[in-house]
Amino acid sequence: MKRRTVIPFGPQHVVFPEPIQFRLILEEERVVDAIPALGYMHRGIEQLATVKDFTKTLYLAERICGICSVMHTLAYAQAIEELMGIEVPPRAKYLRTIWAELGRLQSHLLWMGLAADAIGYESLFMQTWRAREVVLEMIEFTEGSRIMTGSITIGGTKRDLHAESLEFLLHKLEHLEQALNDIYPVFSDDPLIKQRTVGVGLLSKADAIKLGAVGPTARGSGIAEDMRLLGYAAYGELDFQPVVETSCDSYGRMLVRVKECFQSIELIRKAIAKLPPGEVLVKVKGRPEGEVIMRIEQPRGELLYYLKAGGDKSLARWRIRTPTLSNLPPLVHMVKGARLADVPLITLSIDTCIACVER
Amino acid sequence: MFEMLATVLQNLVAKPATREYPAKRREPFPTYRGRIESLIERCIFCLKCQAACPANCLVVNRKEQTWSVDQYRCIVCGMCVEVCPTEAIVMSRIYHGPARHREPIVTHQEGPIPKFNPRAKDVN
Repeated sequence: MKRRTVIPFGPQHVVFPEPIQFRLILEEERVVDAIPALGYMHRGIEQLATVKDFTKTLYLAERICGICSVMHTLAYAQAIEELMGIEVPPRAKYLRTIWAELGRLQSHLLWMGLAADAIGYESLFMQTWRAREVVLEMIEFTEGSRIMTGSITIGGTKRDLHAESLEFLLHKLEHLEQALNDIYPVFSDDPLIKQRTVGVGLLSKADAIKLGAVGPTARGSGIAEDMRLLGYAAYGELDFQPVVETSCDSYGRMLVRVKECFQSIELIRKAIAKLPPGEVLVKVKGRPEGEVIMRIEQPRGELLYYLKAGGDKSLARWRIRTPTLSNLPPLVHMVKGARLADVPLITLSIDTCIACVER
Repeated sequence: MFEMLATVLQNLVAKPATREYPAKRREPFPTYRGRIESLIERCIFCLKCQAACPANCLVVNRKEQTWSVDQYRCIVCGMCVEVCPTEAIVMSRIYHGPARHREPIVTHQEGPIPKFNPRAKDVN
């Protein structure tokens, strides 16, 4: 038997924006096993929700993760609405869709930049983040803040989009699409990027199903799974198909994210074109009671909320299962057999969000 | 090769993509939500904002007629602005800046507490 070495990968590592550790068991250059160690960022948010007022928990949900803040508020608001039987005005549903897609855009662009940086492609990283700045400006103009927007609330949305905002959005989308048109061929054709990603971190379709991969990780392995097809918010009325790649490697997962940026732009345009007039907020009275499961599509995959309320002012239980947690078993599978030098990029290819996992 | 040369030449004459920050600043958008500020002379000390704040950063003292905010706890969500019946809290367009001490900002009201008439739409 060959000599085995254990290398601690993380919790502080250049490719990780957040702390997580993998103990990599190596045989020479090859990884034979990886043991993930979690718990560096636990903040006790689920517990805090059981003592806080349920309307204030909305802001807590937003602060689970900075990148998917819109998605968490959306899931929480939808779950509470389902518990209390509130019908959200159609205009609010469309606004939610627009903001959720803007959130997805900025998250994917952030990831694309980080991936380019991990490959060592400094200028591509800058180009991607320059495009991301356009998205952040759109978010700031329409929601009043760049990351923690607080626009979605229980019963609808707090803000409305006026003609001026819509014009601004359409104008900036044009800019963004141009920038993405320049970036896309680099991600899809550049030999440097292809060398680092093609055939690296393989996850076959059968394995992806068996290990429970979600989101772009599953779609990169040829599974057409997208929670937006459930038709929450206004997604049911906007005709779209999930982006699927069949190459089953890091390259496929990367292309899914790049193509989803174009899809998001299309979805925002469709939503603006169809935006119905009317109110955006209904008054909420009473307290939630019962149990509910809410699933929505985060930029990283399927987000699952389980809420239980007993008619008190705070919730009895709030369980969050985030996409990164579901994608950790596939990641451990992908890392096995890879070279040590490829491990950073493979870990990045599932788009880890540790703040979400540990809450 | 020629494609690259074109890009290089283009970038040589083009303006930089970034702003020269301290010299040139971008104005915040009109819809930007900055730090909260109190128009203390309108305050009727109803404690609604204190109860609504998700971050527990507001302390309102009716007896001493003071209204204080911990800007470093404030999450700029705008709940207090929404619940205030006399529009005594506003959101400025300024982001809160650095400070030497992490202390709440206390504003004190002089004179008697103004009477609040809920039916009157325009309160000064």
